[in-house]
Amino acid sequence: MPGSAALTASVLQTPPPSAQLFANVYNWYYYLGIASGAITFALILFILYRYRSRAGKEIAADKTRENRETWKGPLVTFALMGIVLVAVGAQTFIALPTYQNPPKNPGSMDVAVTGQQFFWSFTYPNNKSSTILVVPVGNEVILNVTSKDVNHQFGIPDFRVKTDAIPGRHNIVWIQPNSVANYTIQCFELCGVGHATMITTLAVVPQATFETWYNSTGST
Amino acid sequence: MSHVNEPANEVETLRGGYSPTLAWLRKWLFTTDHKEVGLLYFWTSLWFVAIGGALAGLMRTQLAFPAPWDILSASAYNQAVSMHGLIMVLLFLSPLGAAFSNYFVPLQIGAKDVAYPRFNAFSYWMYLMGGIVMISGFFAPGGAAQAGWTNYAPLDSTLFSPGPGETLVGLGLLLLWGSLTMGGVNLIVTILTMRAPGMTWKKMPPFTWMTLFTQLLLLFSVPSIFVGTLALISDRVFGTVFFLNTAGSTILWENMWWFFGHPEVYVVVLPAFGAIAEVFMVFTGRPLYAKKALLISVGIILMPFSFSIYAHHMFLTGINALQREFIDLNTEINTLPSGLLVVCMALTAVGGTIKFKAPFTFAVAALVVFIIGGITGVFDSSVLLDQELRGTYQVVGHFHYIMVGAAEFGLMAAIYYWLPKWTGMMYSAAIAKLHFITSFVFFNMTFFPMFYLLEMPRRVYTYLASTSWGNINFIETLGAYGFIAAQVLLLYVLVQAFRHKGTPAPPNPWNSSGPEWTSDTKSYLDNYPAVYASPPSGQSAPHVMTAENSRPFTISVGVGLACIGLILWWPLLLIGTVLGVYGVYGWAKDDLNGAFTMPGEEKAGETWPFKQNPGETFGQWRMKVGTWLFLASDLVFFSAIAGLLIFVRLHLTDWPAVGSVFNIPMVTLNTLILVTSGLALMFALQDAKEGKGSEMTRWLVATLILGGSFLIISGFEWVDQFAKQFTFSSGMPGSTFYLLTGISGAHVFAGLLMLAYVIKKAISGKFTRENHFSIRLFSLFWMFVIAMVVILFPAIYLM
Amino acid sequence: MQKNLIIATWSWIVITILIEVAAVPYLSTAQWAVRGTVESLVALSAVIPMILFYMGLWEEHRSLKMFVVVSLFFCADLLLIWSASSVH
Repeated sequence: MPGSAALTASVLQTPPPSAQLFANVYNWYYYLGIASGAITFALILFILYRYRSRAGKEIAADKTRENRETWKGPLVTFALMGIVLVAVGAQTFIALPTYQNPPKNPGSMDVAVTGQQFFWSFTYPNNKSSTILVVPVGNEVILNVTSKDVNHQFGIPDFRVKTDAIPGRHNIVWIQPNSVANYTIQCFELCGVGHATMITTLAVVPQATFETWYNSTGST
Repeated sequence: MSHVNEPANEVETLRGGYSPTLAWLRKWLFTTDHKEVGLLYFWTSLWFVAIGGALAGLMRTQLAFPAPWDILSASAYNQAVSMHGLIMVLLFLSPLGAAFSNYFVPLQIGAKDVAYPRFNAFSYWMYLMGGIVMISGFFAPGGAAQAGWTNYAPLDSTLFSPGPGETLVGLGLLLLWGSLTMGGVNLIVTILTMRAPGMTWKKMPPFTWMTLFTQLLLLFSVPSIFVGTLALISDRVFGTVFFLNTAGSTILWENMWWFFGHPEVYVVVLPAFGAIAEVFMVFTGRPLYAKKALLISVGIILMPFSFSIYAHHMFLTGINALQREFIDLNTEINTLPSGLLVVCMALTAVGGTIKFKAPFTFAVAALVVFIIGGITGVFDSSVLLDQELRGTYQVVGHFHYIMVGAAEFGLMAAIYYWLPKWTGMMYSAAIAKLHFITSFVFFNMTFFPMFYLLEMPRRVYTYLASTSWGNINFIETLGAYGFIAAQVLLLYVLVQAFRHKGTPAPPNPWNSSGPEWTSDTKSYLDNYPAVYASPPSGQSAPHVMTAENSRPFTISVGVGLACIGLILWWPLLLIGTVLGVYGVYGWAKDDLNGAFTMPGEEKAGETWPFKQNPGETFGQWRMKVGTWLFLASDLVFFSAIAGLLIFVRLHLTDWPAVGSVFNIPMVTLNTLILVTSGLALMFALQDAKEGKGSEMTRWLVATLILGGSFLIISGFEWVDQFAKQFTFSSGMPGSTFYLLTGISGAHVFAGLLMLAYVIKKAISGKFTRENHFSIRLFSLFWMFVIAMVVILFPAIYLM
Repeated sequence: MQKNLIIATWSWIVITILIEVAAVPYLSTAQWAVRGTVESLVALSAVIPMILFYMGLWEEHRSLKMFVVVSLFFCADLLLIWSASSVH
């Protein structure tokens, strides 16, 4: 493990691009969600206040359950909801290709990630294996995730990147680290008694440090 | 005074002179009356929520502080979280809705009971036994199941969950699926065929409508997980390898689970919304706003879509990108009916006079909380956002807002609303208010902070102190303690009311226009002395009739004991099997002797679009509708099997060549033997129509012989294959072969049992030219089984 | 009359099952998805007349209708098998 002296900046100096993309989309859902909720609450509160029972303002209870059929209200509701849903859905669909597909720039590195009870192991192109994901800053890393035993879920919260680790399947995610820092990698799918402790680190290091580490023998 | 606690002499009159204690026991163990069965569901679901809530309390205690706090070990925590989910969804919320459906649907539509009262009791006892079997895992070596309530594969296999706990959960679930299927057929047939004259679809109350939707959802979603659970048990008990195979095991399980699991969340919510609609109408004094539009959008959008969007639980599994986007879109569309539900409730109050009594405040709370739950769900529908939110506390917060918030608060509204009807007593308004305020405040305190924990994984027993999650978790734990404590108030209210302490309530304390309020609370077994169109003018004379039957109880206890015995102690397996067989035999005997009588034979009321055929009694027609409905569900069941087979074959290219394992001429001949048994049955039916009794009996016996031969030859085939080392564990080819033939064989066996009953009836001379209904009903089932075998034949042997 | 129809329906099911078995060598070169679809459709063609007959969906000219339907299915089955055998 590269010595801590090699780490300079604190975590989250600049959020990685995937996290920024996520935050943009999330904010759309968040603000429109709060707005929709607030409007609906206001409507309900207004109705509750306006039509509360007051002395002298009582109406005869409806004994016949007469029809109050209309399509106006439902269609207006659908239309308004539809506008919000289209707006947020569009954000997802627009950002999705960038989020999902690795740009495969020159210099991108493929790392195989294997989850098993209860640790993650990373295998590099030169067959070096490690239990910590060490990557050079600035380069795209494509992660090919699978499992050796049960379902796990490989997640790097700070990068807003996550995928299932399923035995027999290979799921691809990619990251673009842009700061030298340590990030948490954790398992997000119940996998047994060690699920809570299946934690490791994404160590983003300067290029030179990485070269040294990459070419040294033995796993870390 | 209500009917529930009749004075002792009335009980004796109705119960044949037993001592009060014995009469009380017989009443509750053997009742088939829908009202009593409803109350059984009610109290049992409360017992289960106490267990589930205790588990929640334990979990929150463990999560209150970061590592190295470990009052619960990782294994204990995993047991708690898995069983908590199973108990709360399947043993609490769903049955609590069923309690109200059982009690009120017949009252709301003007029926005397549900369509099949004995099956109704059977559903309840199977539910109780299923729950007990599942929970018995806590007392088994290795503890209860710990693979999450979702039991993902291969974590749920014997390789990674070696103890008996997971098997007990699987077996308990099988009992539950049976219970839900029977209950579904029962309630749907009741609503379709037993509406009183004047009770048209338009007039039907919203709670009954929502029950109809709920039961339809169940009927078509349960078969999928039924097959999945059978495959799981087959793996764990017989050594097949469905879920131990890297050629798709995980995805296979997830598909089978979520095809059921997603409609299940609507199953939980819809009855609550039915109750909320009733409460909104009564406490605002206004009719439901846009009822038709609402029901159409639930029936035509929500229901079908809920089956097509389940894969939003699988966004991260690596399924096709186009599929994910399609499901994202469909999930968003499915929020439209939910949003409409909220709007319709709110607009119902417009122009009304709102009385803020306990039922109404809980209903409003449910609505408000549902909005938050719904909006947070939209976050999870996004393929992009889900990639971070999946597996985190954001999801936990979302579904608790729906499940506890919308469903549970809605059902609490139902409890307060209908409590005077059940008990004739009014609750204390002060205590109800306190219960409401504490529940609402502590609920939000527990679950709202979870939306700030969108980086904390689910189902973790501890977390590092270096994260910032400790403070939030601590607040959530305090909220959980408060919420659990608040429910003591509800328990107090319930106990007081059921023990008739406090203020008595008038027959219709809310002045409700709901049809269930016009039925005479005092009449014990009959619900309505007159039809719905004109309200009853007086009390009906009590008449003594049988509304009790011991067979549902006996069979269920037998099955439950057998399940526990199979895993934990074999003598129980013996006892259970004997009890179960005795119960089934007793049931058939009751039918042959006419010992169980339905509450009087009536005529059909509103039945559109179905029509009763001339020449059939009302009871016979009801049996037919139910059989068709059951067969539709069985068709989905076989489709799930076909789906499993297709999935396996598409993922696994290494398969033995055709004809290398099976003796094609022999299996072809065997299939033809079964087909010929259908020929014999059709001849018997023809002879019955022509009144030729002895020929008919001979052809029925021929059917039995041919069907029995099919089973025997199939048995020899199994033995032969075992000898050739082609066993349960012979990879996927072995697993699929034995599962498919096993299920088909079980259907044939069940059919032969029914046929034996029919033959007994024939020999006793019970059939006439005009009335040979049992044979017609049986032929429906037998032809279905033959059709399934004919379709599966090439799939199993020729590919 | 009715019993003749019953026998005819039964005969058709027997014939279809025999067609399925006989088709196996012709389908051996096709992919599993193709084989599966063909065999399933042939099996369905056995079941559908059975359902139609059972539900009494034709009251007049039963024999003629039955003959027509069965013949159509027979031709369709053979066509399916022939086209699948030429797919690789």
